[in-house]
Formats: sequence, C-alpha cells, structure tokens
Amino acid sequence: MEKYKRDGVIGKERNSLRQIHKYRRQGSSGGSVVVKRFMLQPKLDALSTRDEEASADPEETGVPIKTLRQISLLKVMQHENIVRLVEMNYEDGDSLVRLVFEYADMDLRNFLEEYAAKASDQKLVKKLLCQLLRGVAHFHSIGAAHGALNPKNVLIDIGNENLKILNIAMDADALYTAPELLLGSTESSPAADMFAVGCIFAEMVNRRPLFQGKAANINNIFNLLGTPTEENWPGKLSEVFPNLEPHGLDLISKLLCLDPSKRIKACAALKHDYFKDLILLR
Amino acid sequence: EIESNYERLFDMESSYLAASGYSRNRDAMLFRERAVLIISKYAQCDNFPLIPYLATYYFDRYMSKKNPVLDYPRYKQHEIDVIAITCLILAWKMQNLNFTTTKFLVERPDLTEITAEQLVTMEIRIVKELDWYMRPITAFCFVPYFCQKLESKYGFRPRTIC
Repeated sequence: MEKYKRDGVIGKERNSLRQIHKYRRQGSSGGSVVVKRFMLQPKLDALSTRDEEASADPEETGVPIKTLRQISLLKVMQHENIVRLVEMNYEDGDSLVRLVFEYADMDLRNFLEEYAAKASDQKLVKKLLCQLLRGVAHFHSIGAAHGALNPKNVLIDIGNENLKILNIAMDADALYTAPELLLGSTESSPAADMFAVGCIFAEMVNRRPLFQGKAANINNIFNLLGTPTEENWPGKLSEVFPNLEPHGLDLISKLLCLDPSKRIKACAALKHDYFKDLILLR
Repeated sequence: EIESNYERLFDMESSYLAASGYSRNRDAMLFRERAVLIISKYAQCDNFPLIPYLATYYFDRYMSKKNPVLDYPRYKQHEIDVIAITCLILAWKMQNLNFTTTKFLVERPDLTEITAEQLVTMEIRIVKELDWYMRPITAFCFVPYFCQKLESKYGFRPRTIC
C-alpha cells in the first residue's frame, strides 16, 4: 500500500463498522483506487474485536463462504461499465487479502453537483443511463445482483463520459431501496437493482434525489407511486419530471414499478424506445 | 463483432482450464485416479453431481498449475488426499451457504488422518493458485438455460447421464 495515499472516505462496508477509503495513486500515473480488504481465516482474537469477522459463524473454518463467493464473482466481472479489479495483495501470512479497484474521476453524486450545467444535458443523461443499464445487465446475466446501487456507487470519468459501477459490498442507501426490501424481504435481487436504477435515472433528470428524507421512506414511495393503480402513475410522474420526454417517462414508470415481478428487466430496458435515438459508442 | 466475442470467450476460458500437458502426464493420472476415488467417496451428496464435478475441476487445475509437470513424483498419497478433500470443501462452499468444515468432518468420522488446520492452509493455497477463478465457464453454465427451454415446451426434467 506504499504507492497509495489515503484520499477520503467513500462509504461503509455492509454489516460492518469499517469504512471504505479512496486512495490516490502516487507518482506520475495519478488516478484513484478503492481498496477493500477480506479476511481469509478468522483471527484467533476475532471475538474480542468488533469486526465483521467476529460475527461470522464460529463453526466456520478456512476461507469464509461469503468471501469465497464474492471474490470469485469479482474475478468474472469484466465489463467496460464495471470498475476493474487491478490488483490483489496478500498480507499477514495470507490471512488477509486486499483488493484494489480502479476509481474514476468522481461519483455520480459529485458529478451532478459540481458539473450542473453539463449534467443537465438530457442527451448525456441518456448516454449515462444506457451505460448504467449495460453494467447492471452484465451483473444480472451472470446470475448476480449488485444490491446497493446508488449515486455514490456509480462513477463517472468526465473526459470520455464513461460510467462505471463500483461493486464492493457497501451499505445500501435506503433512499434507493426497492419497496419490497423496505417491507421486509431481505434478499437483494435483480428487480431491486432495477428500482435503484429508476431512482438514479430520476436523480439525473431532476438533479436531486427522487425520494428525500432521513429515513428509509416507504411513505415517500407510496406518496409518489403508491396505492394508485398503474394507469394513473404516469400522470403523477409527469408532474415530477416536466422536462422528460414521453419515452423517458414510460421507462421510468417501468423501472419504478412497485411489483418486482412486473418491473422491467435490464436487457429489456436497454431496448426501450427511450434509447432509440442514442448513437453509440460501442 | 461475433468473431471478437468468441475471441474474448476463449481468452477468458484459458483462465479456467487445466494447464496443457496435464492430461497426458502418467504421474498426474495416478494422482487424479486417487483424487476421484476420494472425492466420490466423501462427496455424499445424493445424486447432485455438481459438487464432485466442481471438486475434480478444482483438483485438475490446482495440480496442473501448481507444479511443473516433472514435480509430480514427489507427492505422497496423504498430500493428494488433503488436496482432494480441500477441493471438495471448496466445491461445497461455492454451492451451499450453510456449509461448515466442522460439520463436514463430524459427518465423515473415518477422515482421521486429516486435520482442520491442514485443510485451512490448503484452502488458501488452492484459491490463491486458482486465482479465485472458482466459477467455471463450461457447458454446465448453460444447463439451467436449456432445461428451462425444454421444460416449458415439452415437459422434460433435467437428468444426468451417469
């Protein structure tokens, strides 16, 4: 870790008190990375610490199952819209591994705040959403779900307008959590990812979070999408997104569909008419 | 574009294959025979061939990559047993979230020669050597896809040929 210098906190690990830091690469190449560490065998003194590993099953020996599955998944996540794993460093006699991921210029939240003029270009919104959906579709195509999509996990390179999804088991943000998860379902799912994509799309269009407030806010969701029938959603949504073209409104209503089984899938969303006039960009 | 997709798939596939020369090495064959015996004896997984398949797959890749081919004779049977059992444990871990090594050993009381410590050390050695490529890209990946197609149209049920 000598080549890197700590450069701010980007979030908190899921089920843990540990923070995830961003690091700036030293030397001429520059650029930032994110580092995530995994324990490969429970420490003997784990019970006396407050780490995630301490709460692991005491019967579990060797490489923890979640670690095994997560790292092996990260190894197959090779896609232009998903952040790249650049190196793995083993430490403490192989009892610990640190995974180093490339970071981009900034996260989507910062982009929307700091580049307000650029970010309000609806063509760019379309281009970024398309890239977000491609990354999400890649997750889903290999049978995985991201589980914590939000604007802090979506990274932007300003120069080439590339978008990359960061996937390092961070805490989910309640404002982007699908209603079925707020209502007690515990498993993250591809459908829940799509709801989060809907929230992020909405935020890019209006440049402020769709659901605001301190708590995980099922009431806010129902106030907007809620108890009304499916037919009258677009009416209410068009009030919230006065500047969004009709195809965009249609897509957003399908992403925010309350019933996860009816919510649009990533591969279908990519074929939506909203993207008809998008010139890509392989 | 189709060609470049194939190229990409083959590029990736090489990370998931045993090193070349492995299948023709006599010593490797003997060890593999022993490993297959051990794996099928201790898999105990009721008609679910994915576990022994994965375990054997890990074994092949580990043995072929860890050692220069000439190095095989130095292995002792006990070492092969530890490697094979560890591969079996890794396969279980990939398939079953509730798996624990402790329970695995309790349910197989005749594995007295192998300790939990040996298994832990070997587990880390194997995942490092396989570079965490634990999810094989093989025809197996496509089984659920085709089963789904067949079931909806003709009412077939998946079934293995062995």
